[in-house]
Amino acid sequence: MVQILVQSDLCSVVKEISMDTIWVQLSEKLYELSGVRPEDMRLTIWCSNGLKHEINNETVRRADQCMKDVLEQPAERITVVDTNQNSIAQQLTAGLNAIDGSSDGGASVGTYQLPEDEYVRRQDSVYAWKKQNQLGRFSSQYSDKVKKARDAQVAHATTLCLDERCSVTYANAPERRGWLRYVGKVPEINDIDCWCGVELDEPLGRNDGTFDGHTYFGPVRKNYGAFVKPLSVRTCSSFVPAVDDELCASDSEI
Amino acid sequence: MREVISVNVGQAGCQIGNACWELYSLEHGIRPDGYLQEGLSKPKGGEEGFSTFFNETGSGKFVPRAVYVDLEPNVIDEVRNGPYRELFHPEQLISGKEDAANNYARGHYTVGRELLDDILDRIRKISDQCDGLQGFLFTHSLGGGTGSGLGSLLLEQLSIDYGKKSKLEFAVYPAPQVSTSVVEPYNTVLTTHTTLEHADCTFMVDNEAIYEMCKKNLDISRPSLANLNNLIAQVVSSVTASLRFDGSLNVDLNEFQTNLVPYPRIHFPLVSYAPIISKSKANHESNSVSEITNACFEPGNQMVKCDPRTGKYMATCLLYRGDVVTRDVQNAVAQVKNKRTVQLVDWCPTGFKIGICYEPPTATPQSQLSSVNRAVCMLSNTTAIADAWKRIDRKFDLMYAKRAFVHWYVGEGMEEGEFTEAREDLAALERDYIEVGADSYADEEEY
Amino acid sequence: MPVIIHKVGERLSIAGEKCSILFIGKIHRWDDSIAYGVEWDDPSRGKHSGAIDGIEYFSTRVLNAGSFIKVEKIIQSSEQRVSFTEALYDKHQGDYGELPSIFFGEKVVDISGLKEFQQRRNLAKRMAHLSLTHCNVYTVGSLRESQIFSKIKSCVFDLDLSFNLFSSFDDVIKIAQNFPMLNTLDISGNRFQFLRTKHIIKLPGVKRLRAHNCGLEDKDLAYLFEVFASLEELECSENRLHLNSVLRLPVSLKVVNFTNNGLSSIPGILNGLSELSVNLAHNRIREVQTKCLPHVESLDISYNCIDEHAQITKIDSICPNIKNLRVNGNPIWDALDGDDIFYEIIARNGHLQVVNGSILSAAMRKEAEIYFIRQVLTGKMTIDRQSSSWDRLSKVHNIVSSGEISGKGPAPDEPKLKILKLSVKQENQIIGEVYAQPSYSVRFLKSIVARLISRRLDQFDLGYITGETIQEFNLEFSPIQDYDIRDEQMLRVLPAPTSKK
Repeated sequence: MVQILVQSDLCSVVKEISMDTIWVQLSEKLYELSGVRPEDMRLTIWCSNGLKHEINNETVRRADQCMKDVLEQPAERITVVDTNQNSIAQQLTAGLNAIDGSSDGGASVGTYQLPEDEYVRRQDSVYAWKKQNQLGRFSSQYSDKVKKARDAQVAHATTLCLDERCSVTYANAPERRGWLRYVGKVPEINDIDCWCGVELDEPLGRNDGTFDGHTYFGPVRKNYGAFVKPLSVRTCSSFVPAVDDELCASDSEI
Repeated sequence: MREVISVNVGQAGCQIGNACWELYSLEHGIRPDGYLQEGLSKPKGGEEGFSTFFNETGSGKFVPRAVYVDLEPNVIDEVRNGPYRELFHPEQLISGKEDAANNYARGHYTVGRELLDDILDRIRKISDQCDGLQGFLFTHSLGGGTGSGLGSLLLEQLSIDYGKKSKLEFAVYPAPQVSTSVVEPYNTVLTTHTTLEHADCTFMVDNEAIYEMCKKNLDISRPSLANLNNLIAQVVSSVTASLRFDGSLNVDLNEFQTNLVPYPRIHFPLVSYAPIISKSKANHESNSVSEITNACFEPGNQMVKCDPRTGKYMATCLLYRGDVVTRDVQNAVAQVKNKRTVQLVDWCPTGFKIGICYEPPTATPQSQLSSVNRAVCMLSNTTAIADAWKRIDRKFDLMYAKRAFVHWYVGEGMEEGEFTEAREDLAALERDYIEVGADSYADEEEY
Repeated sequence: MPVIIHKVGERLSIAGEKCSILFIGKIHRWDDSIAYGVEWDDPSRGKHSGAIDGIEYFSTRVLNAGSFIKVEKIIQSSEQRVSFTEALYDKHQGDYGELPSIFFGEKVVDISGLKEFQQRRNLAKRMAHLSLTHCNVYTVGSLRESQIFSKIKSCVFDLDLSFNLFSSFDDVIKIAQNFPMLNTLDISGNRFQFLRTKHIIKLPGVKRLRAHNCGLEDKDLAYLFEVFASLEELECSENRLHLNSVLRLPVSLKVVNFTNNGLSSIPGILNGLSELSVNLAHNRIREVQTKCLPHVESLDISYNCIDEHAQITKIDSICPNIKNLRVNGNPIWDALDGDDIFYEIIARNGHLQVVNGSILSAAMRKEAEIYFIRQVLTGKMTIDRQSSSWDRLSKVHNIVSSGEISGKGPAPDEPKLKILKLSVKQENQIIGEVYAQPSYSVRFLKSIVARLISRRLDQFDLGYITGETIQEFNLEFSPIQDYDIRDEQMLRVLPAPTSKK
């Protein structure tokens, strides 16, 4: 038995294979690994002495010879080539490359989706479980909780002063400062939430005050605008533009 | 007593099993011949702990509670002739003559079934030596014929024979770029469908992710299979440490399910491990509790490639090994809390748990991992792992649309309907993950 | 004017960057403020070597690692320093009371195992680690008054004082000598002044010392060896060591790490030690030129400047008992075919178990050796034919004197391959031939026939003809030799049994 690396477009695997294996039997084995049919198969075999052997399709299908009869040294690596351009293996290679290569994981490739009504009918599903145990949106408290959270945002929004200096803070993100320019709904995001439009001192936002074609403030310079949740905003004239730390440092360190 | 029987199936399963038992033996102070290391009066880990995995015979020898199963003899012959040959009883090593040819149907219906009675018989003998069997720990691959086919057959059978005893799996997920055979997507989908209702908790390991850790973190330019399995064993050992050493979180096998699985189908926690640093690069920064905790959230420390930042967490278990004190843990939690990307699903019955096992990790002599005072293994049930299913489902669809190689399965007596049934089940699983992530308020905080 | 609370020689941490104070006073650029002259631990943080406008106020040890900082900024941004006992209290007070609940969102974080861990600590099991890394410790404090210290001192086995602000090594000794069980000490990331006194306090109990990035020079190491005379493991990466021949290593040393020291050769002082594991990665070694290192079992010379093939091939004669070798990341690796040199290293050295991190399997070794022998015999690689390596290879692979491989080692008695030619008959017609080995299972034979007649396995049954009668194979998985199938025998395709599932 020798360890042989078998490679094709669709596989790469080390297998223990005896050099006494008859060619036709080897090609069967390689078919199972690579999906290349024996009648379409051409092999390149590297042996332990470094020599490369091209094995044509006639040899591959011989039943009266084993590997040892053709190769004087143990094989190390076999590459399986598919000579049939229209074979199933060739078609799959093209398709799988499209899946692996695409950034969306191949969402564009036709893929089976369970029809929604079939999913909802299933007994053993997360949906059925949530519904039965009144979890998540099926919970009576859920809508209360959502409403409470939204009310808190709205209540806070009423305390903010429009066109005043402001500070925007989210957990685990550095503070940003700017001017509060807009308070209210942004229907392009959703119909229910209250948003604050902020003109930032630095280009740390995501837009220019325009969302989906509708201008809510400004327009300001690109990426100087952001829509954030009211509870992350505080307004006060003392939120002056942040001092550049680097400038400060260079003054007191040489 | 709370014994656990390990069942290693197929080439990958047996090789990982080998690496694990080598490490377990070292950690408990047991020599390759099954006797105690010099200077020890009993194995390390406390009576309760080590006896979950080892059986003490009358002669003072310790035998793993494990079986090795493969349809072809090569890999198990290596165990029979390897340095740990005396650790096992010959009856624990079961091999057939003819392999499954990467075909789930051969492993599940034809070739595998021939061996089934024999295997169940040996498992029965081992379970007869247990006072209070907790359950089973499987290692197998999802893509190979034996691992997928026979592995799922055994899981099914054990459900019948042993009722509700816990069954945990470590499953090798087909690497996205490098396939061991053209039909891996079929095997993976078929075995996942079959085992979905039988396995309580499945920890997936993607060989390609491990390969990259070996290359990048451990500076191994050409990682061998032994390198990969060595690293996988270190992770498996971290997960099972709480079972093998007295006292901590997940002391019982079924606690994994309680702590991690909100609903039985959603039982595929993502495993991360830190620190993974090489001996030659052992730098001091990466070893504090906060550092290793942080590293667990890095994609480079995950056993399966997916992006947890895009998902929601149902449950998280941080399992620390070694020197960790209260203050460190408090800091670590505060740190995780501050990550905006870690969002817990608030309505799930599972939550955030931390377990500490006093025994630090051990490195085998050939291991390239630097020996450390502490390590952490994070098990998190995140919706992001659905990416792994999406990837494999797409490949399945591509092949099945052309009915490519389906005749290999039908030729072994499998019905074509099983393909569609399995695929529908996986589609429902993908949909289940979406349902878990649905309806939490305030998804995006900024536009 | 702010009050100056620091002294020259003390250490500070400013926004996470550590430095040593080398100067405090007025400089000509700033007449309104006092300047601190510091040397940063990270030299890239520095701006000069202590001189400004040609006036030298102080002199850094490392070129361009110095800066001047106004005292106002020091007061504003230097982190608070604490004593060892304060740091100990801060870190471990939580171990001895009820733990307050930690919330994650609305959920309580469930913590288990800490109690057990502390119980073990309290029971003075030997495995107690005490880690006060990155705590800005600069002095000892009052050990006698610390309750936590008195609770744990008898069981601390491993003490980590790395990345603190100690300036005097005496402080470390004062702390360490109070832990009678101390085995492992980590002092990395500090910059010490080593004040030689008449009485050097010795700590022979310490077996493992980590002193990564301490700015150590040879004389400092010599001092450390006097204090820690029984060291077994030493980690001294990222220092300024030359390891000159005057230095005497403790004979007990088993594991040494001198990575990142700018060494230009393998230090000769390693010669006398036995069963040694040596890590010299990331230095500037070009030549493997040292006397025999017969006892080295593990050698890491990765990421050096080795650019000659001959240097790599010398390793087998320098370290004949080596088990673990790393030579990757040297220029030679880019210049040559990686496969070639990888195999050559394995083949030349029979003891190697791990090369460049790859754990070698028996199959890998065999492959490498046969490859290497081939290359030698065809003149593509060379080896001293008198060497013990070649002698070993010759024996293992049975190379006869003519320079040929006669076979793959002592050949096991493999029976000559037997191939059976079998004809297949269907409804009294011979429809083809198949080839099989006696070891094939009935099922495998059946699958070969299935291809021949283009039928699925479950659509037919297979029998064989002896004389006039048709026999059935009744066991699908037994080898066909059990049925005494002979060459030229006839197989018979039978209709599928109807009752079978």
